[in-house]
Amino acid sequence: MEGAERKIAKVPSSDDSCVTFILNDETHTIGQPLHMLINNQPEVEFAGYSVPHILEKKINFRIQTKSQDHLAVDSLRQGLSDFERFWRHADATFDNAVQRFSNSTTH
Amino acid sequence: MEHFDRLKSRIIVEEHSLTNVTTGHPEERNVLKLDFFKKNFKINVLSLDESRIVFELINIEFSFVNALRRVLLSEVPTMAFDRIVILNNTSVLQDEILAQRIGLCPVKVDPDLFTERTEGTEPSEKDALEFKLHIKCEKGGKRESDRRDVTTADFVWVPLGDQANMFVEGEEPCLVDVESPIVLTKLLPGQEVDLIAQCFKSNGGDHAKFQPVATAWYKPLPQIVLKRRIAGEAARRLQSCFSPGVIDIHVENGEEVARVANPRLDTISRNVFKYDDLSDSVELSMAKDHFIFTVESTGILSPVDLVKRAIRILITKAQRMLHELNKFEDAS
Repeated sequence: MEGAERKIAKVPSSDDSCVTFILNDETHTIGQPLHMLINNQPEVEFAGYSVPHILEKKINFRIQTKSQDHLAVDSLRQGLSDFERFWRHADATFDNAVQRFSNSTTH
Repeated sequence: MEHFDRLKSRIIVEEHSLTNVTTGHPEERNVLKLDFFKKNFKINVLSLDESRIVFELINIEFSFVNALRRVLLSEVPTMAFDRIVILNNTSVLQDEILAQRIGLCPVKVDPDLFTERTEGTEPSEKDALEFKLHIKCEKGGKRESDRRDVTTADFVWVPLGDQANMFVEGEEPCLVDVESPIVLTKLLPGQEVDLIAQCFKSNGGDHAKFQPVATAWYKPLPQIVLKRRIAGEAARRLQSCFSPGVIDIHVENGEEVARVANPRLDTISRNVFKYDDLSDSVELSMAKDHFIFTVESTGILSPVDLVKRAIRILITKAQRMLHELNKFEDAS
């Protein structure tokens, strides 16, 4: 759609290993877990996020990697992918838990 | 080393501070590693009924648990009254007050059947639900019983377009009864309320009336360890410092001795530090990766449904961003 804000934008930088991403329409809900996950990656030097203004629903997410070989965008991609996989696993675990509970109470 | 391991995964609660809060270098956080998570993450449902679920999550990072809570509160969508056309209102409540009250009443219908309305378009069967409310209190009566309460049970659903075929008989859209219909206003003989109320789809982040949970919250698992034997009157006092059921008293050699029974019930109130002689007798701590999560529904969706929808929203969030990233890469 013409003029619509991109979901993910990038603050222009000449170095692809140190990038600030702008995640539009996102809050601490994704910011905090993502930052914990990405910091956990061994090639990441720094990962952090901030809310530039409380009246605007977006976050600035900065990733700095330890070497030029690792692109910041790859770390972001890995973080998001892990986030998705965590929740898929949690989904299945929750289903099992509810099933176990209803089995135990009907007996 | 058991004490050391326990220390690593627990926040120690002292009288004036919390210690051991920092979770160590992020690379050491096992719960953030997918392999560890897949092997060790557990959920146990502690209780479940039509309006509430309590479950515990073990071996998960707190920011994930918080993400679930945030999504339950502000991103799971529902239908709620958003536009009210008042044809006649001679009740004692002003139009806008009545409208605000109606807006807060939960509407029992599956929000997935609808889409969000685009600003400026006419409401249609795909994005709106319409109800009619027309109550007249008969003129002339002078007794208390001649008055009439207008409640959520008085709303009549008006199917738009093809909506009559969308619902099975007995499961048409209606307003939620909270033990009994919610009173909206009260009419004296001769007064009347006549309005058309339309529901649209949105989420709690837009307006609290769209929130599908009465509330949702979590707490870290409390742990209480008695460092020494506490007996007699002190044992009774210790018991009173915690929520009922946390500490119980058993009789040992004719003396009443305190024992930790069910620390899960505790609210980590730190009341024990009120008494100088008991301050050093207890080690209070909270788990860093074990949480007890409660979800209370407003009646629109079942508690299990709510959690599943919230998880689905979190998964979709990540998917959308990954999709965007891939487009990004192709463009640059």
